[in-house]
Amino acid sequence: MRRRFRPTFLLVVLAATVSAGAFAAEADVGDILRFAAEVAQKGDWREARYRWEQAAKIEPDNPHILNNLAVAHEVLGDGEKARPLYERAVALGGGDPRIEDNAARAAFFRRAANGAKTDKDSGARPSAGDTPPPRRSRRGGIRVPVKLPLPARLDLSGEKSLLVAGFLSNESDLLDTGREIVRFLRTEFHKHTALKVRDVTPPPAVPEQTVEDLIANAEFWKHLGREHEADLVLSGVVRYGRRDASGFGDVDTVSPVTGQKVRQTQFIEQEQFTFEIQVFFFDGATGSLLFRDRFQRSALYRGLANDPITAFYELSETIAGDVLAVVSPRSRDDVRVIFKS
Amino acid sequence: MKISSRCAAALLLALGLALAPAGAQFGQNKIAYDRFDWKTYTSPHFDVYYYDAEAGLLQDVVSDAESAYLKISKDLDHELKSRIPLVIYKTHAEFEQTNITMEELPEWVGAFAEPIQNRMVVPIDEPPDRLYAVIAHELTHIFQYSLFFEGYLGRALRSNPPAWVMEGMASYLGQDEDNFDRMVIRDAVVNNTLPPLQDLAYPSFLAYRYGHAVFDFVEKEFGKEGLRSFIYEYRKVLLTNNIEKAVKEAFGLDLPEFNRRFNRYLRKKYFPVLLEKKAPEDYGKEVGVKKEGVFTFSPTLSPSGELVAALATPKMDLDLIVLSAEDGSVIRNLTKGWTNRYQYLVAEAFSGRRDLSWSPASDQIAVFARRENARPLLLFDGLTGRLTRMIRLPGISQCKSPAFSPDGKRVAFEGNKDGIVDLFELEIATGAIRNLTQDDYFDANPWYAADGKSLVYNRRIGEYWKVFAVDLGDASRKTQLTFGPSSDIEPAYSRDGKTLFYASDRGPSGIFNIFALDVSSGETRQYTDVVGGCFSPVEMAERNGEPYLVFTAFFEGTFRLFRMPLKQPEARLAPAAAGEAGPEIHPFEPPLALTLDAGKAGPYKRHWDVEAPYVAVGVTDNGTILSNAAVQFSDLLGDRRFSIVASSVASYSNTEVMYMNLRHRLRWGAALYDYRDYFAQVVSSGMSTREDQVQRTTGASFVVQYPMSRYYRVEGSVGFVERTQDFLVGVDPSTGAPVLDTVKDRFALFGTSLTGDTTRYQEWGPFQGKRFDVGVTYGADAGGTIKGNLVEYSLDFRAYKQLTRRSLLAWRIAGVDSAGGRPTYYALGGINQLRGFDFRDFFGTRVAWSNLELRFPLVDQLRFPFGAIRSIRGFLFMDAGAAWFKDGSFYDPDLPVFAGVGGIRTGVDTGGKPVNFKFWDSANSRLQDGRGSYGWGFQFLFIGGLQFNWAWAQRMPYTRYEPDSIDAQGRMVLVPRKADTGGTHTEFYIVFDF
Repeated sequence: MRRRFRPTFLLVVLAATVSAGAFAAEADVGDILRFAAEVAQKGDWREARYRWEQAAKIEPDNPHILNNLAVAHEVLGDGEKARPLYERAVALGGGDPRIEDNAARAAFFRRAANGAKTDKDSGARPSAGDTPPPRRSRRGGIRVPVKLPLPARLDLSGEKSLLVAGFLSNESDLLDTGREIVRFLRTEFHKHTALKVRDVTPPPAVPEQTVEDLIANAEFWKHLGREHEADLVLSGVVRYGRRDASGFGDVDTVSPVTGQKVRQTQFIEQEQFTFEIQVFFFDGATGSLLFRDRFQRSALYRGLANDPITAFYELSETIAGDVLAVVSPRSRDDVRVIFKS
Repeated sequence: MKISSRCAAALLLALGLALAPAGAQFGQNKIAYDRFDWKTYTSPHFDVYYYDAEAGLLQDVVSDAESAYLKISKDLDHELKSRIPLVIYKTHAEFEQTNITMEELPEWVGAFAEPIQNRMVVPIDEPPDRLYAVIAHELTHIFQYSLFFEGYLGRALRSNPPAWVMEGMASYLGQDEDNFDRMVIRDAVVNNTLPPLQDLAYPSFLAYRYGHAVFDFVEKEFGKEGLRSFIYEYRKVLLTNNIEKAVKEAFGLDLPEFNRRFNRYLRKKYFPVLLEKKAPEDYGKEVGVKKEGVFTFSPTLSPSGELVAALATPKMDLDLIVLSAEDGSVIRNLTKGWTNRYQYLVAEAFSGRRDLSWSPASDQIAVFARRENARPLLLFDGLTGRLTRMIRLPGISQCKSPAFSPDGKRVAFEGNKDGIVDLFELEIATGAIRNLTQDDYFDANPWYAADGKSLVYNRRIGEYWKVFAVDLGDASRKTQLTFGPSSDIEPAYSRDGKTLFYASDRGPSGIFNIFALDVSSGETRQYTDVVGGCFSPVEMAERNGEPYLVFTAFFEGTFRLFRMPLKQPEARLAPAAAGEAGPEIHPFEPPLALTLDAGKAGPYKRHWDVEAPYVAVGVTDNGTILSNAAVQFSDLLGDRRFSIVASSVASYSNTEVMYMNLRHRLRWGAALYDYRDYFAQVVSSGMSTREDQVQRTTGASFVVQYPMSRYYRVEGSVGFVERTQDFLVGVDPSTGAPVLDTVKDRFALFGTSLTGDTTRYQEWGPFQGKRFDVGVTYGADAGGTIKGNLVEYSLDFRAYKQLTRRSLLAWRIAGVDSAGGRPTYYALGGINQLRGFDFRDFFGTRVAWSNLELRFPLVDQLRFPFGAIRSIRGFLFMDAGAAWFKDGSFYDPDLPVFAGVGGIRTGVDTGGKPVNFKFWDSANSRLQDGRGSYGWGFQFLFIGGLQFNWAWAQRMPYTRYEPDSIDAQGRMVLVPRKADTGGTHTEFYIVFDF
């Protein structure tokens, strides 16, 4: 291979060596591990798993291989297969903190994921901030970002269609929040899930009841499900507001004269938009509540004449993933250490 | 022709007589690997030249040729006045060795016909129907030559018919278009990417296809008579190439109207397909290299089914890459960069072959490559990216379509042995090869069954490829699996072995789509229905329990890789509908089946005829005109060549008569020559007169060349030469002017050299690789005015490093040293040797120089009312060099002596010591007697491919010793001063860059 520009006067030598050539040796476990780590880093975990399985057949008690294989299983959504592999890797790893760290993080995630699958209320899902910080990887180990699959919080086997019914909303002169949230959620479910979203305009209104009475009104939800041929009915409560949040605060500025950064206390005009939503998923056939959750967001905007529609949609988008995760699998970002030797 | 100039220059170099050492003539070697014992067979219209290994196929060739003659003669209503020499080669690898043309014949050149001696040169390793089409295509060219040139060499040389006319008509009359070709034109029409006719003047794939479509249209609209009418009208305007007039006279239409009608015809033909069919994106996701214009094709899957190895063109050449089947991200490029281990990877996908196979039992990926005149099997390690083995397959040529056995220990492949194309199996460990099919059919695309006991493959019947299975334990047990008038190519078993996937052009539109045959029920399912074409299906690992296929799709002018879930098929065909009940297809037979008459066969008799002449000109930066013209004669096979070369430098003419025998790998030749040239020019500043110092060389030589490989060769020569020379006998002590006298010497010459060339080219020149030539010449004194032997050492080394797709760094270092007792003078300066100085401004017995250039594109096209100048390229350069004499003296052309002429520096410095040649003035950190320059310039090809160059050069600072006074001994005292470099020097020259 002549890939580099190496002018040389040894032309006769060059002529002789170019045509001779020498071939490389066959691949070994080291090659397999390096390759698997490479494809894993590129996101091809299925191929990586296949390679580590090959390597494990050759060296079944190699803790690095067992660790890698466990990570692959975990990333591919098979946490139960990962657990015994982590346990063996830890046992054989001689106290390698990287393997133990992986195992601990996997255990934490597994508990959280199992909780997410079974709990029907908020707060059981893990977030990046909950997990212990990854330790620094030593030689031979590579820290790789992983997307760990979280199962949908509702088992929707057999349920294929969704009706987004009206939402209860607070009185607001900003915009018709009930109508806007229905439109927004309908679009999101349509774009990001396999559900058949019923296109019902205007959305069916819901009775003016207390939240708990509304949830308990199974006949109503059942009626909606039947009328619109929806396996699943989504409704809820949305509250949206704005308040003046002006006040004194520290502002960092760069002096145009000296170029230095200067911190000044200034009166800042700003508004705070608050957004709170409760979502209820009902079984369209029985009217029973399948799942409920509640999300709250707020954001500060400079000035006192911000567009409430823009703010509403920016805040809505921050809860879209959580709402979609109820009916479709999603993933959580985490970090694992894999070994390439 | 290329060989003659190369040999001429080789002789020049070997004899050491190149006064301006412009360097060696490079070029990769065209090697006669095989020896052919030629024979002749005389048929009614053809003299067929063949060798013994082809005797069994001669009858088919003669039948094809005479059948084609009958058809084309009738179509054109024309008879040829002379017999047609038809030279046939058993395989393409042997065809490439022909000396009928000295040009390289890449594998994509299927055959050729030349207009000087009307020879047709054809490899006969195509399936019978394709061979007939190839012969008919080339024969159409011979008819074109007869019609257009009417036997006049002048008309042949002066005319330049557009490619779409010549090749389109040959394709149309030869009926050589297949469904791959139609796919390309259909795709161009529906995607509106057809170029205007006038852009298809030069040979390109689209020129063939588009030209064919034009003649289809002509026949459809105006009948066969319309075609003949166009040919005869075009003949009238051949030399002016006035297509518009020919179209107007033949069809009564202006060219724009003709174009409009033609395009409407194509749209009416193909647009309905666009409405009915889908794009590959409608079936799945692209998993190839997703860059515009980059091809990805010939997929093979890793044992896990998660990775795809494929051929792709991410850079400038074809690479073997490994991709993720999930998202198409490139995991590894196994053939990144450039190599001389092999020339290129073999890609036959465009003729319906699989090109790669990934071992089911390991990570070896098999692919054939071209190396010298063979195709060894390469095994790459998909994990490490290393080339682990290169296996030669002696006796089998044109190998393609590798397929690993399930245990990974054997590789089946298609190959040509003794003219028969069969499937073979290689035992990797032992290198043993056996024939798997052992029949007279053309076989292709093997794929093992999961148990390794049988394989499916393609057999050519008539014009169709059908799927067959063969028992590997008994080659006589073959079973036909697909039927009907369609080509069912590239069969591959599913992972569970229950389904056979393949691509087929079944249906009225002739579009290749993906089909699946249920092996147990016989049901055939069609999975795609596209506008372009789908090929090379292979099943990947399932996703969520759903089977997936990876396949190649052609759409929008590009081969791309897709994966698709095997969902609902587009159509289901019961076994009866799948073709069993269709018309039976038969092996191809030409319309005329002739039998051979043994009395018409005989040995090859050599006779000489004229070849195409060769003319080249150049202009140096001081206006000196260089020219070279050659008239050549050769025997019919081109193995023996006789040439008369006349060249000139300014008003000095050179003549050379040469004979070369190229029949064998060891080439030899002899030459008689008479060269006259000047080695220094002295311009009188006040009188504008040139006093050139002349040397004349007359002699004879015998030369041999032996190419060790495609890249390297050795050469040797012996000869006798007589030289008359304005010889430097001294220096005028008062002026420093050289004193020369005319001397005559004779030498017996011996020379040898080693030459290498691994350079790759683009249309604008070399861009990657190295070239070198090292040589030595010894001339034994055989009497004359001055005693002494000639000894000369020469070196020329050039390297090219690609930087981007169209830019590169080029570097050259070269020099000649006349080291013997009898000196030879060489000149240096000007052109692209030492810019900023005059042509041959310096001379000496030793010269050396180096050039560094950064070459880059500047303007792609400048359009003028009279035409366009394409590919204007720029360069930044730095030159350095020097010429001096063995005794340390130096010729300074600017030495301001009293007469105003340059001279040999003879003075002393202020310390009374002679001022000898010194390249670098270390005291002042600048050049002394060396010269250098830097600057920029641009160049383009113009007027028939001459390279026009403009350069703006700044001389590097240098020290010059100038006369100051006369010392007590009457010697000139010289003092060093910084020379006036004179600002920017503008230069124009017409020579090719190094």
